[in-house]
Amino acid sequence: MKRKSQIQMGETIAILIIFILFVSFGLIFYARMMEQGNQDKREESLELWAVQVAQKASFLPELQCSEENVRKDNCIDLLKITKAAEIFDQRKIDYYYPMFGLANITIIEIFPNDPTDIHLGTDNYVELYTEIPPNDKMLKKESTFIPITLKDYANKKSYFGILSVEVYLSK
Amino acid sequence: MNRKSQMEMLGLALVVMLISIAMLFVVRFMVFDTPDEAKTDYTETELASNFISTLLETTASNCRDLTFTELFQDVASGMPPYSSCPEASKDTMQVLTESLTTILMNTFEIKGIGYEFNATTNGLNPVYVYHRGSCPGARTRRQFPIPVDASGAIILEVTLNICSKQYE
Repeated sequence: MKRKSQIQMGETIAILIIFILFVSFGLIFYARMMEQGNQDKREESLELWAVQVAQKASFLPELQCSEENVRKDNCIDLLKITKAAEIFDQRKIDYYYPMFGLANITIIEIFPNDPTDIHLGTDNYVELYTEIPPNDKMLKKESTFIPITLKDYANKKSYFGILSVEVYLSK
Repeated sequence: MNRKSQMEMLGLALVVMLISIAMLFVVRFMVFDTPDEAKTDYTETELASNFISTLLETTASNCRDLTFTELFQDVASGMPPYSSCPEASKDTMQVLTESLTTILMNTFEIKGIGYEFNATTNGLNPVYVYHRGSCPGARTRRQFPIPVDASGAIILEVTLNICSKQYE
């Protein structure tokens, strides 16, 4: 009788151990899934953030074209760019950082992009806003770009450019 | 004996319950967790529509400051010989082809984006066809009609398909 009880106790203990193992595996699996889910969510929100930053940048009144007080979509006024780059630099921390966060916004002329006929910056390329985390802290980078008209009101010409936006996820 | 059977049944029920919960998690995380494609959708749509609208407004600086709309109209309206572009010592068809190739290459090909770009009159006669990669599957399509003559009989359709998959 005593021996039978011992065997039954052993059975119960074995079942408990197996049960605990099952639960532990379950918990580990759940934790891993949750971690992966959180990572996916962060990456997904970075993608959405990239879209938001691109939208905000393309509709900035500091850059946008206007004709007879009517704003023109997807158009950047070349005459405004130089001054806007200065303003971006001066008000980066207090005004633009809360708006764009860790990002890099550049305007690139695609056409005509003639090296002898510069319309944009010194190399047909202007970096408007740059706030890049150090490489060791960068987790992910998301890039997006929008074709945009670069309007030269002085010469009544339009050039083909792209507004390139990169946003970063840091630790 | 009756009590032992009850305990065994309880144990079995417990095992079934645990397996069901595990299956539920697997289904929840692996089957229904489809990736959100909001950014891809938005980017492709914006890219396609902005590309065409920006392109048609752009000035071809090496051809009498005509816009691409005017270059397309000139090429679509007449048979060769096309109007000339004195700055480039070429005709409008040559300037259009060269400029468009540059723009398409520096916008899409440099980033590995597959696309199909074409311009046809009344959906039939091709004026300009260019593509990199092909769009056998999903694509984002944008089309802009441009009237070529005053009567509106000839309509030029400029179409851009952005392929959802990047080309190799």
